[in-house]
Amino acid sequence: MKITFPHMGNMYIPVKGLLEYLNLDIIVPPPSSQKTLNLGVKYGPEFACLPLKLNLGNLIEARELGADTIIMAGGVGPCRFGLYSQIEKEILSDLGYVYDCLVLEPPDKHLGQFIMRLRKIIGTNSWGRVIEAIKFAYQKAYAVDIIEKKVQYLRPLEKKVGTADSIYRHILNTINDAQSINSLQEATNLGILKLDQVPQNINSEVIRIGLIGEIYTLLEPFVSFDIEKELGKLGVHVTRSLYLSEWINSHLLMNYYKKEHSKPFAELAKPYLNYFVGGHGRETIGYAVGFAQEGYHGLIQIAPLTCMPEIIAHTLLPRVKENYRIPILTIYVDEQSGKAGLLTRLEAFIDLIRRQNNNRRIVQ
Amino acid sequence: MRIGIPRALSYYKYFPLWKEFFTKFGAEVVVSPPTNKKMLDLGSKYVVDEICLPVKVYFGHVNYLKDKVDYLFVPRIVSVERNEYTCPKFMGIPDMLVNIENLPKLIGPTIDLTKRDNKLWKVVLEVGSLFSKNTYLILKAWSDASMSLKKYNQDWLNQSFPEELMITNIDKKEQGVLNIAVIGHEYILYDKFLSMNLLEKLAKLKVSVFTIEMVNQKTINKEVSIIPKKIFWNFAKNAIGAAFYYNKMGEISGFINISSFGCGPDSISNSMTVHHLKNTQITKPILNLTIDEHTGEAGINTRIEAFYDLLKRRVV
Repeated sequence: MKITFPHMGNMYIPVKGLLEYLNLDIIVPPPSSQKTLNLGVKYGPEFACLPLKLNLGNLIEARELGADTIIMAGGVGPCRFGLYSQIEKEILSDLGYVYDCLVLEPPDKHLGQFIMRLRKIIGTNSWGRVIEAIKFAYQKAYAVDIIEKKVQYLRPLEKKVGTADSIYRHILNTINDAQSINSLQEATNLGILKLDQVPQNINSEVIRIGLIGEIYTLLEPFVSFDIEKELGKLGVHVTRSLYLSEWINSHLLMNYYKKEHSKPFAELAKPYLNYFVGGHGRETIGYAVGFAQEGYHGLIQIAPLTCMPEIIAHTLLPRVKENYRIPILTIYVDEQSGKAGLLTRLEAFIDLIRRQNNNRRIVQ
Repeated sequence: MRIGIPRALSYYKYFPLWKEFFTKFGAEVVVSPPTNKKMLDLGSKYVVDEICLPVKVYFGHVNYLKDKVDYLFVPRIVSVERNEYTCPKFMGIPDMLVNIENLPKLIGPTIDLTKRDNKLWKVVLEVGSLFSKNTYLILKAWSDASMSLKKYNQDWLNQSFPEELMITNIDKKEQGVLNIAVIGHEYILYDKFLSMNLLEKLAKLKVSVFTIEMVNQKTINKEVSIIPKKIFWNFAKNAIGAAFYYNKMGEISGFINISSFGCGPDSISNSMTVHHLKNTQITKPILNLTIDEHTGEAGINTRIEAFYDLLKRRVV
């Protein structure tokens, strides 16, 4: 049995950690690339959202490497993501690829069946061992996030562009290779130490941008054209509304680990959006308000084209913009998006924010 | 008291229910006229470009009604069945409406029956309390209203179109040359502007049309159960179930799928339908029509006629 899973940014690190801890055979699909996208676009439904196409591409590429079992997350609505597993299975079987599939989702009828399927995959491992493995995977996700936040902070400040990112790539590899809690701790500490030594410009004026939107486009640099790195080059400190470990903690581990600061995004979204609309629609509005209250200079919303919850959020964002006088840029991505167009829009947006800041300073 | 109901989205499914309920309390129900180009243009101003056509039209209808009524009835229909949702756009409608200036007072109850303990009667009492303090009267009005909805739905189940939809020149009793199943949201199919009069065009070609609403819920649930994963959108579930059912019906010779560009549930349900229909022994042609504000009528006509010719050649 060779297990694979679709990519989503750095998610492969904790998932690989989890499965290897259980001594399972695992095939990490090649990182999402143009080839992945082409495969997904070719075989996926035309009007489906971008993450589905990339997931499909990942699974086809993994198949070529010999994988035969899929583990992926699911859902019970109303976002399309909940049906990804079903539709991907159907398309793959049309292509002649028969996969075993374990979908991690709240079971609506067959709890027993779910446990049986889980048991089939984890083999002879004891439940205790599984719990240990989950804890280990969470620690990995957490370590990745600590490092990533540090890199986001350094990007606009570093003297030589790209220093932090090259260290970042290296640390990700060592975290990925860590086999035990101890070596993981070591890798993280070493990473922090290295990043602390990156030479910084002290006087540079940093713009703070909150990146909000749909989870996949936030976490997967391939679809967002490395938007965080590009913003970093423009002198922007990016903070995302969502980090992988926080999402794992709140959605898969039922907040087992205490959050350092939990923003009540549902409360913040209240005047604008009073009900959940699936996906991350309410989070997008809530965090937009949160970032605005914390004095961020601007917000960028990113989502796949036709994403339903984000369209609702997009419709409501102008009122946040008016109330807090904060510039907001919305970017939709699909297989037709190009990097040059995105960069032009980002540059214009950041120029606008800088000018606004200067004007404000003159008035004061 | 004048209560406005936009002729869009959930109107086509529930209008008789609401009308009966409100008139029981002596309110005057004002419905916006059938959709036209101007409504779409005005509606598009209040929402983002990326949103689907029916929602833009909904905003157009609300905009039309806003200075003609005292109240607007704009329910937030989250779910009409346990563990099933409508669509995120239905769920966000009352919040998005605030983009329109000078709105009258909104009656916007939240209807969410996903959980077992969320009861519909609580919503009924909440809305009814605007008109009357008498719980008995409210529940009586509700039961009368439910009856008229039942009659409305019964018309469909009897293989005909309810009068309220104002679909003329379609005589279902006359045996058509061809039978085609038309799968699409009722708010597209029965909106003559959005569907470009699809139903009447088919009628002119002497085609008998079968729609999702003509299949009863029990059959739909049975048909859908061959998909191992629960389809959590109510509308998409009905569409898939009806398509499976019509596929088995010998006299149906083809399918027309009509959906709006950017419709999330349809993107998935169409693909699932096609996958399953392809994997049965029966092969029936499927025509996919996708509409948005740039769709030209001539193009749609050509495709319908070509599809008609194709089916005719196969059948005869």
